[in-house]
Amino acid sequence: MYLDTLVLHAMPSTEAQHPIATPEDMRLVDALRAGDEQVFRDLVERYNASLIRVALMYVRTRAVAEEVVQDTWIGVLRSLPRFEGRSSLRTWIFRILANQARTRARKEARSVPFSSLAGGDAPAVDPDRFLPVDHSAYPGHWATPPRSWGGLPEEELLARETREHTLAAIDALPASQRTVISLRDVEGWSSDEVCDLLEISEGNQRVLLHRARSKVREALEDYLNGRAA
Amino acid sequence: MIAYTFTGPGARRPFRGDRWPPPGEWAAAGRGSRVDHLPVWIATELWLVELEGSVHEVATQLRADRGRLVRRIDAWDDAAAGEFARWCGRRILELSRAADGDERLNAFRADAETFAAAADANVAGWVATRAAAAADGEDGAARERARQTGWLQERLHLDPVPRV
Amino acid sequence: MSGSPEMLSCREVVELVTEYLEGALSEAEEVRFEEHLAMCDGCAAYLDQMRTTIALAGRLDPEAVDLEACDRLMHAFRGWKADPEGRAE
Repeated sequence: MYLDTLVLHAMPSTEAQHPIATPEDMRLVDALRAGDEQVFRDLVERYNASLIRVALMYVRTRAVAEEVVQDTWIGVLRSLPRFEGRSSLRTWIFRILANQARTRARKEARSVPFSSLAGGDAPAVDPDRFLPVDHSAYPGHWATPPRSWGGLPEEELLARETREHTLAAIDALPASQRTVISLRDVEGWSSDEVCDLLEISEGNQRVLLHRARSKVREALEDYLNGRAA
Repeated sequence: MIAYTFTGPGARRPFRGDRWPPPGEWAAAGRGSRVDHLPVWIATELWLVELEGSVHEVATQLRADRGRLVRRIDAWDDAAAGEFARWCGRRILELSRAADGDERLNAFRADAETFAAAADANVAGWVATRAAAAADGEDGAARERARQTGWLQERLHLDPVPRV
Repeated sequence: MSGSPEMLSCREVVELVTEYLEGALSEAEEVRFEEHLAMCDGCAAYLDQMRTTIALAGRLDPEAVDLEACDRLMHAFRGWKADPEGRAE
């Protein structure tokens, strides 16, 4: 079943928490050093959106984030001679981005405090979905339980429109939540890699991931409920 | 060691979103339970499972580094699960007669009448346990679970210590 | 133990889902979490939905780069290629 496969690939990977450069990474770096424009274009298309999302954790506007990302790509090209493969190519690119973003944020002297990006303390699910905590028989249990999406036709779940709603829900998140879910779930980074890059604790990272995933799930539930038979 | 394990349809592992491989093939994170804790884990299919590697018990669950299905216990099917659900429903009515007027028991009694199908088996067992707790405290709840285990052992002809 | 005061409610379960998926719960907490899921279709469906949400996030279509930004970058690339400032030979 394709849906089984879809979910299986979401299970945590057993590979190294801090991957080093793969043979493919070294091939790309060699091609860039040789001036291969198509390889550069492909790399830009692959990572640009996620780079912008990470930049938005540090700078306030999308326009500034896009500038930071442009500067990052130039920085990547200029730093190519120094790439030794001790980290993966993508980690290396994102570290350059993080450094550029922090520098820019300091210059702007208007960087947004981390706490204000975290998105508050909203519960994962609307409390109205549950019975009251003082309910005599079933305190805190579902009043309107969610329905399994397994009942939906697979084409529905795999359709482009569903993916577009997922993307829209991610882009609607507060900056820090958006960054963490982007790196963990969209890009597939490990928890350690994300904590290293963003210089946050595992606990902090988990809270952000939890809030982000909860909101995206809710948005998808609203969308899919509207389409269920 | 050999233990019992419940799964979803097609040997789906209940909380992991994947399936057990075919019987005999090892999988990581073996899970099961002793016969005493069967009612807690009731699901669609019942299997014998072999657990290996740091086997230890945590509350009602046996945990090991790996496990493999041995064979399915066919006696546990939709019919048996439906019977169990309805039996638990009757237990809830008996328990709530014994301690009338308790608000919780009124709610449980209302639900008891809905427990009819195989899919209700686990929750029916749980509600019966909660009804027993409302009537007789946590000791009552433990006795109710033991009663449920007895029902399953008898109906399915289960060995207390499962043999291959 | 099932039936004990430490039993989880659904409200609590939905707040633990991320920790569960990350493997960050203690063994005892994990078993308590799974005991609840065994008897609660709603929470089992919620966990399933969460897994699907994560899987969908992992399958997003690549997002198009702004055309103007892309042009600027290719221009910069050609500029760098012509004068790489210390590119090793």
